[in-house]
Formats: sequence, structure tokens, C-alpha cells
Amino acid sequence: MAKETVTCEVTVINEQGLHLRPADALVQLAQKFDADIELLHDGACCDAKSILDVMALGAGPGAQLVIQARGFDAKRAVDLLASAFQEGFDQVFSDNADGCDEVGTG
Amino acid sequence: MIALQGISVSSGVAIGEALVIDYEGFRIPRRFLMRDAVDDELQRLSSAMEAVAEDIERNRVSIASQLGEKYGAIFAAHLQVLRDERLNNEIRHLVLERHYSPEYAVSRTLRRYAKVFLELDSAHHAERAQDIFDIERSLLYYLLGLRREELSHLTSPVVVLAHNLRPSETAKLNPEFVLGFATEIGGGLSHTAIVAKGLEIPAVVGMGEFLTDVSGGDLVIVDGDHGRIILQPDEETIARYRHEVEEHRTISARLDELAELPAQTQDGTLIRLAANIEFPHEVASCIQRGAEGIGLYRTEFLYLGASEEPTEEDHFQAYSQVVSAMKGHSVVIRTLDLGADKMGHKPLGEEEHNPFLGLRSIRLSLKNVTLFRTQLRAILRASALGQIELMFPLISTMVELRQAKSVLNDVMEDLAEEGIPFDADLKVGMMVEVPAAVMMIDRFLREVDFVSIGTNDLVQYTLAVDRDNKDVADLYQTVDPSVLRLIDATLKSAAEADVFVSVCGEISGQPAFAMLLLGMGVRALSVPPSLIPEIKKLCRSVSVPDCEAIYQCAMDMETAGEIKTYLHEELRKTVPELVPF
Repeated sequence: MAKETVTCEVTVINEQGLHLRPADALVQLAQKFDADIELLHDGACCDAKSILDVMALGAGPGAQLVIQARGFDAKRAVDLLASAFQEGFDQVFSDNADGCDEVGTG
Repeated sequence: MIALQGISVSSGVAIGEALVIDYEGFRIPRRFLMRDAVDDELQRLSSAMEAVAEDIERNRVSIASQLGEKYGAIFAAHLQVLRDERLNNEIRHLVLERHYSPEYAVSRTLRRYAKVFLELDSAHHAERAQDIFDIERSLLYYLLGLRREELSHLTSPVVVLAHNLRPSETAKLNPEFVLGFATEIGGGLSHTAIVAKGLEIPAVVGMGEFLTDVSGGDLVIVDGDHGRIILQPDEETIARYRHEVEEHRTISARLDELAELPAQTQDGTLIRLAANIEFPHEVASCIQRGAEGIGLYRTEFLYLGASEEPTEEDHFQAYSQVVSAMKGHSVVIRTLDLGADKMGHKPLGEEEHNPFLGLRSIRLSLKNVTLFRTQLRAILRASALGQIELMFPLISTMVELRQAKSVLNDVMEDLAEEGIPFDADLKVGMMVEVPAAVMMIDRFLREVDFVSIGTNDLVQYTLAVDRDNKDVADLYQTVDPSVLRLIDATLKSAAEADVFVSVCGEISGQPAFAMLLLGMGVRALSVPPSLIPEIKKLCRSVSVPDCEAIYQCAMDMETAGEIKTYLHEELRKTVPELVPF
């Protein structure tokens, strides 16, 4: 089992930052992996498998984050999450292409 | 430690555990579980989690089919939150290790996250706190379920913190267990405030949003003297306030010694000091403090507390209880003085844009004669049991006064025909609280046995200020010179016509202002029972000629600010111990 830590720097491209839905998408992806995955932002660090933890990072639009994973599937996890960040987590909603923008939930 | 400023509505200090009542009226007490109940409670928590998850899933499916998956995803995210492992572990840990009730564990944990989101810079993240509150509410709904306990069923002393308390809810508060309360909204002279004062519970309203910062069970301080609440107080602050509570107790014990003594000024003038009450049970504290009768018995609670219109018997029970307890002292009963908007049980009017200028008080009674007659019958019946006087509120025109008296005469005739006893010489008076009534006071005085000046409404109608609107509340000034001139005019006319006049508004309960009233020639004051000792102390410390000199000076001034400062200075010189802390 590979024990080295895999890291990758990513940027939040979502207009409203890492809010409820993108955070949900991120966490859903992270939970598919066995590896321990953390997000680092602005000196804070969070568990990528906990939506409350991710949201509490308060990563706004344009925020620079580091994904950090450790475990046998760490490399695959970081690659997938990094591409999800790049696409603004859109693939999770790919079944809905009506072009509707970010939806407020308040 | 967080200190927050609001509007003080009832003095005194309360230190105790918080009972938070959220928007939907859930109470979230910090409750500890018995060791052997932990397993069952964890099971209950799991069931609630499952039930909420099912609700969310149902919402997701329904919204997704109506609006598309992208909208449904919001609920998927809620589900994600609910299933969050950290969250679940945290809640379970509180139940397992600290033996907190699931309700309290859920509330405390979710509120902690919500607070983190509220403190984030981004507005979008702050909004997410609402999602968290939403989930908290859903969980509490299932957890508390039918066990939702009402305020009237408290079993241990608490400080109640709420978004808002309706007057009927305040009325149900048990002073034995409610040490104090603070609300996010509400104004300084709202009905809720008057009820709090009646119950002698320290209270602060209009705090603005603060409930997100507290969890049930936290130690909080309500400082009713300064309109402040303190969350998470430090040791030093707690000690300071405990000391203050002690001091309060000492001073009020000393003032209570005055109960048997007359309210007589230094130069020997006797002042009639009566009490304003809202509830029959307040009579006990009136007697204990030596009130000379009830100068104002507000009857609104009969309408507010009940879901149905009160019957003649409901009225009669309350009135006869008060009049019998007062043993020959006079009791001035004021007929219904509510706005149509406050009558919960029956919509009596259209939606009003301006309730204070709308269908309220005597106008409401005259439009709903059945309701009015019911109350008058009960008052008359009770008048056979003791010394009752009847007072009509908010009289603005001679026509209103005459109409009200004519309904009263009708009811008297009915009772006489039915052979039911009542006091045929019942004294009938009116409140002077509309400037129009002051302008016509000489005429009104020919048709009433007494008048009572109600300064709360008089100030609001004279200065055109809504006392519950915080944006203009600073314009509400009890001792504005215009108001003083109206009081002065009423007193002079009443003296000429030899009609009894008393002052029952907030003005009479404030020592500095009461001093001015004595100088103006007022010889009868009616104040909340809790203030009787203070006002009696004032009466016994001043002399009428001194008060008259103060009055002369004050009437020369042109602004409320000047007058207020001057009166407080004079009070400090004469009776320093009555100057508020």
C-alpha cells in the first residue's frame, strides 16, 4: 500500500465559491475513495469527506486550495477531484443541461 | 463574553440557564439523561435522523421532477449534511459521553456549525447557516414531537430567550420558574412589556438577532435595569451581577418597610398611591406593599390569554376576585383597551394600516356592543361586592363618552329588571389620553365622576410617535413640554370643576417625573405594584412647595432633554437613593 502523500493545487471556479451544492458534489466524490483526503485553504485544513467541514472552510470564488491525499488510491482520488474542481463540479449535474445557473437555497 | 444592548422593559437582574425558544416555539433545554436511558435515546436520535432523511428525500424527488435535478440537488446536499459522519459522531458523542439529551446535542452541534458559517466572509456561505437551521428544526420537530412542552409547564428556573413572545405567552409565564426574559424583537411599551412588569420579571426586548449565539442551558444574564443581556459571562461579571441582585434585595427589603406608612409629604400633604394591575393575582403584592386601591385594572389579559371570547362568567370571576381581595379599597376597572389586531380569537376588523389610529379600545367596544355589554354586565355584577369604579379608555369625543354611558345605562336597566344586584351609584370616569379630550376637557368634566391621565398614549398621540417603532422610539419623550402642558391643562380644569383626577401612565412610576407631577398639583398616582415602595419613598421625602418650585422651573424649559436632565438632578439632590443605578 503506497503511503506517500499526493498533493495538487486547485482553484475554485464556481461563482459562489465552495457552497452547498459543489461541496456536496466534492464530498460525494471523495467518499468513493479509501484514501484520507484533506483540503488545505488559508492555513485551515478540512476533511474532504465531511460536507460541514468543507463548507466551514469558506472557500470563495477564486480561492486557492491544496488537495492532499494519503492511501492506496490517493493518486486517483487527487486526479479526479482536481478535474472536478476544474469543471466547477458540473459533471455531477450532467444529466441536467438546461443551463440553469447556481441556485440559491436560502 | 458577549454583551448585547436592547430595550429595558422590566427592571431587575436575572442570572440563570437559558431556555431558547426558536421561531416555531420549540424549547431546547439542556437536559441530562439517566445512564440507563442512553441507549434508548440514541435509538430515538437514529429514528429522528431516518425520518428527516426520508422527508428530505421526498422533497428532493418532488422538486427534481418539478424543476429539474439541479434544484433537487439542494436537497441532496441537505441529505449529505444530515449523514455527515463528523456531525453524527459529534452528536452521538455528546449523548454517549456527556449524557446530553438528543435535542440538546443536535441543537448545540448544528448551531455551532451555523455560527461558523455566519462568521465566514462570503455572503453565500453565511446564507448556508439557514440550511443548517432548517435541518436543526426538522430534527427537533421529530425529536420533540408531541413532547413539545409549553412555557406554562416549566419545572426548573430558566431565563427565556425567544425571537418574540406574544402577550398571551408572556401572560402564561410562571414567575416561579421564569427568572427573566429577552426577545429579539418587540418595543419598549408593547403589551408584552407591560405584562412582564406586572409579573415583575426582569425583561429586555428588541435585542436584534442573537439567538444563534446561544444554546439552551448556557448561563446568561438579563440586566433589566440597563436593557442588556450578557452571553457567556466571565466569572468577574457573574460575581458583579450576583452582588447587584443582593443589593436590589436589600434596597427593596428596606423600602418594603414603608408598606404600613402613609404616602405623606414632608409638609403633610397626603398622596393617594394606588396600583396598576393586569392580573388578579397581582392583588396580593398590592396589599403587601400598602397600595390604596387599584387605580387601573387592565382587563386585556382576559381577551389575550384565551382562544375564545371570554364569557360574562370569566369576567365576573376575575373582577370579583380582585374586588373581594381589596377589601373595601376602590378598584378602577378599565374596559377593553385593545386593538382589533390583538384579538386573536375573532377577526373583528379589516387589516389595518395604522392600528393605533384604527379600530381599538372604546371604538372597538362601541362597534361590538355585544362584547361590550358582556364586560359591563360582569363589572356591574362585581360592583355589588365592593368598591368598583368604571373607566372608559381612549375617549376622543363627547359622542363616544355619551354612547358608552348609554350602553352602560341599558345594561343597568337590564340588571335591575332581572333583579341582579349592582352598585347603582357606580362612579364612571374616562381616561384622558387623546389630545382632543384635553382640548374639550371642561365639557367632559361635566359628564364624568373622575378622570385618569394615561400618559403612554397621550405622549404617542401628541408627539405622533409609534412607541414600538425603534426607528422613531427616541422621539417618544414622556416629559416633552407639549405633553406637560396638556397634563397641566387637564389638572387645572379638573381642579376648577372639582373632579377627581389621577395619573396612571408610566410617568407616575418614575421618581423624577412623579416629583414634577406633585408640583403640578397631582394628588393621586397609580403605578405598577413593584414601584409602590419607591414612589412612596419619594412622596415621603419631598415637600409640595419644593415640588412646585421644580414644576415652575421645568415649565420654563423648551425641550424634553433639558427637563429630563433637570428633574434627575433635582431627584439626586433630594432622594439620591432613588436615582437609577
